[in-house]
Formats: sequence, C-alpha cells, structure tokens
Amino acid sequence: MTVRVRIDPTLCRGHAICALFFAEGVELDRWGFGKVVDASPSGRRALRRARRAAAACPNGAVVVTERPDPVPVPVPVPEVASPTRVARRTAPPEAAGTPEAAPAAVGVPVAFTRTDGRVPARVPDGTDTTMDTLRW
Amino acid sequence: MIELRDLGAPAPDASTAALWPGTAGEVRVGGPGEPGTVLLSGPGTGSGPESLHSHRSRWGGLPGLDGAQVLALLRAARLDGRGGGGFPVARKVAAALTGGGRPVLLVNASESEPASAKDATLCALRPHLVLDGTALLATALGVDEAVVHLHRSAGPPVAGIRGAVEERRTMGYDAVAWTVSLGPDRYVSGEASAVAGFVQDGDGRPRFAMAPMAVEGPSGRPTVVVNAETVAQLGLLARLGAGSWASLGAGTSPGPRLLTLAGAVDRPGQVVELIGPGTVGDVLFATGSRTPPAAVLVGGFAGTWLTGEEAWQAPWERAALECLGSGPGCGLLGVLPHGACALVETARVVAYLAGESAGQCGTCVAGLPRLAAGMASLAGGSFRRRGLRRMVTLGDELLGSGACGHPDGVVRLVRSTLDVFGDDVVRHLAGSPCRGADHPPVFAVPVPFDAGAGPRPAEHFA
Repeated sequence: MTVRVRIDPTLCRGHAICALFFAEGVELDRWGFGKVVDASPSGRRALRRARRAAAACPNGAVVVTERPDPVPVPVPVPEVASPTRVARRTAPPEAAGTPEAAPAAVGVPVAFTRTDGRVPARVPDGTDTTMDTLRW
Repeated sequence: MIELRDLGAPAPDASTAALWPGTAGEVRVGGPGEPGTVLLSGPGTGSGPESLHSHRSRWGGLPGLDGAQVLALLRAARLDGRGGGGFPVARKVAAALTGGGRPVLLVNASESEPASAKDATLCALRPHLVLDGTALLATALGVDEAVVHLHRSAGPPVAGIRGAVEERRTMGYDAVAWTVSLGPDRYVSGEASAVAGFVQDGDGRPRFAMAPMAVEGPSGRPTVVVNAETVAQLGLLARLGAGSWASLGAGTSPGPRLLTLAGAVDRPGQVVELIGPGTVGDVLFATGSRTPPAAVLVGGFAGTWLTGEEAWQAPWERAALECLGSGPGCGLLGVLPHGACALVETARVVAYLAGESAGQCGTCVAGLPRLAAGMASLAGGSFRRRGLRRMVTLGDELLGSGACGHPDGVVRLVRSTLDVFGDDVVRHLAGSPCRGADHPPVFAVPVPFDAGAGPRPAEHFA
C-alpha cells in the first residue's frame, strides 16, 4: 500500500492543527500554513497520526490517499523453458486467477483515491474566516 | 527523424514545399506574411483572419492521419509545449490515453502574459492552422470534441476563432464538435488547471490536484490542455513531416518558434517567427536593434533576466538557454534599454503579479505582497542588507508551496534579478541615486491590483 499525505494549499487557512497531530510530517511556515515534509509516512502509528490530522483539519485541507502497490505483470515465458522454471517465473495464482481485479501495468498512472471520507469541496470565498482577518 | 511519407500520409504538395528553401543553418526572422516565414506565412497583419478557402489553397486539406500516426508524428518531431512549460506533447497524449475514461481536449489560447501576443496573433490571423492542429490532436486522443479557451475581452483572437469555427461548421470541414470558451481576464485564469476548471464548473482559479491533469483533470477524466501555438505547430508539422518541420528549428527546440518583443523595441508587441539556429541577437537585429541592450527579460514576466551581451549571443534553443539559467518560456523578449533601472522595472512587474493572484493559497495571500513590498523598497533605495536577506529567505520559503506555479514564477524573477543586477543591488543598498529613477516605464504592465487589500473575491474569476 502506497500512502501519500498532502495539504491542499488552496484550502489551508493556517489553523495549524495538522502540526499538532502529525508533528513529524508537517512543517509550518511563518504564517502557520502547513507544508508536508513526510509525504509517505511509514509505519502504522505515523499513518494513524496523519489520518487524525486529516480528520481534524477544519477545512479538509489535509489529504491522505492510498493506492495498492503495483503488482508486477507476469512475464511471458518462452515455451522452451523447463516446467520448473515456468512455475517459478509465473505470477502467484491469486494474482493471475482473478481477471476482474487485474492490476494495472507497471508504470501506468493510477489515480489516487481519497480514503478519509471527506468531500474535496472548494471553500467559497467569504465563508472562511481566517483568511480575511489575516494581518499582512 | 522520420519523414511524413514513412507514416503513410501524402507528401506535402508543391505549394507548401516551395515555402522552405531548406538551406541548413540559415536563420530567418519575420512577422506575419513576411517572406521567409512558414508558420506565419500567408496574408499580412492588416488582412484579418485568413479564410478557410485561402488556408486550404495554401496548405491543402486536413491531412488524413489516424490517431496512431499523429502520436508517432508528435514523438518523431519531439513537439514541445509552447505555453511556457515546454512539456512534450506526445507524453501528455500518451498519459491521457492510458488513463481511465474519455479524454478532454482543451486548447489554451488565453494568453495571460500582458506583454506576449503570439497566441493572440495566431488566433487572429491563422485561426485555421490552430484548429487544424486541434482536430489532429482530437484524432490522436480518439475524441470528437474540442474546446478552445480565450480571455473574454480579447477582441481579434476571439473573433478569429469564432469566425473560423463557423466557417468549418457550415462547410462540414472536420468532424470535431467545437466549443469556444470565454473565461475571466485574470492572469492566473490562463493557467492550465484554471482553464480546465473553468470549462468544467465556471471557476477560473488554479486547482490543487493529486494527479497530473493528463491522468485525471477537474472533470475526473484525463484532460489534455495544450497551448494555441503548440497545436498550430502540429497543424504545420502534419503538412511538412517530422524531419522537415524539426529542421526549421535548432537542436533541442525543433520547429519554427514564435517570439514576442516587448520593452525598448521599435514595435512592442510585435510577433516574429524564428527559423533556424538563430540567437536572441539575430531576432533583435532583424527587428531594428543594432547593439546589445542593457538586459533582456527572457521567457515572460515570470521568466529570467539575462544581461544584454549574454542574451545577444544566446541561441534561442532550450538547452542553450537552460545553460544560462533561463528558458524559452512563452517566447517573450523584454528589452531593457541602457539608462533604465532593472530593479525599478522588476518591482513594477512583481507588484502586478502579486496583485494578480487568485488569493487561494497562503503563499500568494501572505507571501507575494511582502515580496512585492520588498522589491519596491529595494528599487526605492530604502532597503538595507538585513531587509534584503529577509526578502531572499522569504523567496526561498515561498518556492513550491502553492497549488500552481504562480508564486514560483515570481520568486524566479526576483532571484534572477538579484543574480544578474548585483551591482545595481549594491548601489541601491548603499543609497546611491538610481540611474533609472527618471526613466519612463519600459514594460507596459497593467495597473496592479492592491496586493495588500486581501484575496480577490471569487466573482473575479467566474
């Protein structure tokens, strides 16, 4: 499973809550806008913290996506190969046996799917509070 | 290099073959309709959009290529995007074909760069070349509809494209269902994701995305956004063949190239076509300059500065320009005359760009006005060393933190200004009087929005 954490900068309003929950993966700039430094957290704990940060963001700006690892496409085996070598070089039976779940070929871009249950809605201007009161 | 004949398409007819005498290494520069041009050949500037009849008699009908042939042609010619990014079109198309769903084809003719006019010139004078290339790209993507997007208040280009689409419809010239989309006149609304988003839901602000648009655009379908000059080049490429077309360019920049001149030139806004391995000096010489200027802003407002001598000898070719830390960008040559102050000019450009943000990301809302204020202080001579250091740090922090490349472009311009005009910076820091303080503005920059007044309302981008 490849996990990717990103912050949608168009939604981020600098609440900085993500940095509380996911401190090791998010860095705040001088105004409190988050920047992801560890986009692919490894380990269950880090992933859980990233998910919490995504759930806690009031603007839904933290996006955690995941996609299955690409399964290598079985290499076509020439007929001259011995039976034992054929058995070794073909894909595992569960990958080859389910044609409806056939994985995309390696290198083909697969769209990430959002798994945190949030709707990536664009915040209409005027409804968000912090940006208007931000001092510059 | 493969010839068009290898792809099973008809050879170019005699009328087009006569257009390029084909002397290797020959450099030619010319405006619309001037001798020696290829992409801009035909009637001159004053005659308005070229009619379909005239276009067909000069170039022949739409080449009968199938999708695989068009893709092979794009690969063989290594056609690069001409909007500023320089991304290979073949890779965009290939990504869209392997992605899920029916691709969306968008032609971005909304030339946001205030000083650039090449796309406007093409749409106003050679609309059928743009539409021919679009039709071929639609074939490559296996779709039968295409959207041409322009800025709402762009007069002649909109009229040119609309008239050309109408002509094609009445004649049944191609099988493409054309849509002309008119979007907001804002600078960032010409960005690719903003164009795709506007066509999808009427919001012309750049978008954040997890995947490249060619894989998944705002509509959820693979979205291919190409610049108007890029498709016009494809229209030409399909007639000439990959080898002949590429030989009109140089090295890593195959094909003819369009450039817009701005600043201290005889005719600011003049668009010329460069053929062969020419330098920036060749282009400036052909348009009336005789000696190197003080400096040249290369590649657009979000581009880079080169000193006059450096630029004069720089070949207009991607690899060569990248060696100098620059790039062809959207093909703008902004000429700074001797006696003008680059810091003052850059401060005006940065103020304009900072005000043109969509006000979505913290980077633009909080960062760019400060960067603009810093440049203004530097140009005005009220900066000391610490202020300059802070501004450089701010630029480093802003880089790469927005949803689109807008802040990156501004930071790039500021960085290259500090790099190239180090002597001027030192003089300004020391409080010495600026040589160019009384010089009239060189670049015609639209009146900037007050960048400190907060984010733009969403209505500005609808």
